[in-house]
Amino acid sequence: MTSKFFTPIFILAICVLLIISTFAYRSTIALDRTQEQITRSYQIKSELNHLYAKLKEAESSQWQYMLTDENDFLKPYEEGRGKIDKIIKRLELYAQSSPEQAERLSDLKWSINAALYSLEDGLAIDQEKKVSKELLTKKISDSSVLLGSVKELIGEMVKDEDYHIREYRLQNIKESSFTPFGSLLLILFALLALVLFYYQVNEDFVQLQRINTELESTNEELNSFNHITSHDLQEPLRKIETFISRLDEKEKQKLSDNGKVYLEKINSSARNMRRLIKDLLLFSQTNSTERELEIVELQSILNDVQTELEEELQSKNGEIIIKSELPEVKAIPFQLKQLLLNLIGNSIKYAKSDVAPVIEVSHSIIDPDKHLQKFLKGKHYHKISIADNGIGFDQQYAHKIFELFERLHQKNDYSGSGIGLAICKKIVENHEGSITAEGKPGVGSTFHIYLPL
Amino acid sequence: MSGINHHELRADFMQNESIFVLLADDDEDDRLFFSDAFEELKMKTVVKTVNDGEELMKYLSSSENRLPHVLFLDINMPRKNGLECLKEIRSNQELRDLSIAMYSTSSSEKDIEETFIQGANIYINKPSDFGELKRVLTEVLSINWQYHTSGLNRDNFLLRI
Repeated sequence: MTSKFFTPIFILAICVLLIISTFAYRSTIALDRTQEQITRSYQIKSELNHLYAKLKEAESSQWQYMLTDENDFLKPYEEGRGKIDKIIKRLELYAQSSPEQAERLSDLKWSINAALYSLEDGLAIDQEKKVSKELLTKKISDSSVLLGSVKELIGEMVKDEDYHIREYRLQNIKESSFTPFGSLLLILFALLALVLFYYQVNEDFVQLQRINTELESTNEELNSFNHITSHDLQEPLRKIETFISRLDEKEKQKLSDNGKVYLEKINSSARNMRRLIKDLLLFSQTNSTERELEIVELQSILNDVQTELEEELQSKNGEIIIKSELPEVKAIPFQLKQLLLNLIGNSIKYAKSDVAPVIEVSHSIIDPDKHLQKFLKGKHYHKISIADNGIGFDQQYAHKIFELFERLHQKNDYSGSGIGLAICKKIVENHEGSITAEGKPGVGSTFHIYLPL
Repeated sequence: MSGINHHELRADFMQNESIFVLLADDDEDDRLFFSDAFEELKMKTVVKTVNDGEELMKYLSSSENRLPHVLFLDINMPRKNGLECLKEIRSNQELRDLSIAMYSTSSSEKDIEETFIQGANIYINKPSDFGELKRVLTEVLSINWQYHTSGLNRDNFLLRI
């Protein structure tokens, strides 16, 4: 498995876990709600039964009174009235959420009131003792009809609540039976994903370790390569040069004119080789891991470089014009010195033979919004430009000149190892910056260095 | 016989007596350049060369042999290299005061650092020009060793001409 599956697996596992928690939350809420509904239905049922009992009590106490004329029997009836009102109030509260039950409840309230009124009516008639037996009987049978319809309504409402309870129970069972099974499935799924994820991370880690070991050994090889170039290659070359200098000093007079030319050719080849080895060594040693970045005054580095190149510049009557002071940057000091040395050195080296070199150095800060180059997005950069009036180059080679061993000019015309600009590029990249070149043959070239602020 | 101290070299040099110079180098050409250079220099010197570290240590440990005013020591030598010789000399009671000039093609920081720590007196990069070689050797022999050694630090350790 490769690391392109890495992210999807991780995202999937997170999604699964999110789904599980959403489901768990939702089913808990639903369970809570149905539980609450069941409880309320039971409460309504119990209140209704209670109400029915009270009504029965009222009815029987009235009858007992009518039969015995004992005032004691009216007491439960009077107490019952107050209780019935309270029960109805409570029922109204419970039934708020169900409009159907609320409607029934108001019917019930009306029926109860009617029944009670009729009971009281009967009672009043009975107390007058003047009414005919028929009227009394009629009243009693009226109120008993009304009570009957109350009983019927209560029965209906109880049945309704029973139905609701059954419904809620079923729903409850459905929800609670889905939840554990679904969760288990999802959790297993997430676990699987996480195991895969673990294996992936582990595998990547092992691979990284392997690559790291490889890199370390490559680094070691590079180091020994450095040693070879710095010692083993320079050793024979140094001897060649020393022997040349001996020949030059002691035996030159004995050589023919041709021999003298050959000697000079050998000498310049040896010099070229020495420069090549030196530059190659510099290139391989230019890396970012060696030293920490520090605050560097670029202007003072430029001054040092100017002093170092003074002689070369004088020999061509050139001048360096600093158009704006260079800033402070966070950098590796000797690398930035090398950078300016190479670029300004190039400007002097590639001057036109009949025109004195004029090199202009300038600095500005680039706004992140105005970057034309892709690589400089969203950050402020120092832009340091080094422009000359030298031989220039064709713009189509602007990228090529930064490649190792790329030369645009004949070796005999201009000396150079083809490494200088590659070193510049490496240095700038070590500093998370960039370097670009603009050129026009016969007019000059400009190098732009971009360094992060 | 005791080691030659720095006063003696200076005194010999001033009195125009011949200076004894010893070179340990495995490279035949380098030994030739070295001897030729002293031959051409208008200095009264006696030059002896040995071919490697083992030969050097054998020479130095024999009581019949005269100790040099200055020892030029190459680093990369077979069997016993310059650094090993340097350590042995500095840990030997008889030889520890010897003036030692490291004489190597290598300009690696590691070699310079290590020989400095082990107590060499100066570090010379072998020049690639015979004229320069002569200048370097003259410079080394005219050093006031006592003054140089007491003020020796990492910056003036490497000889720059």
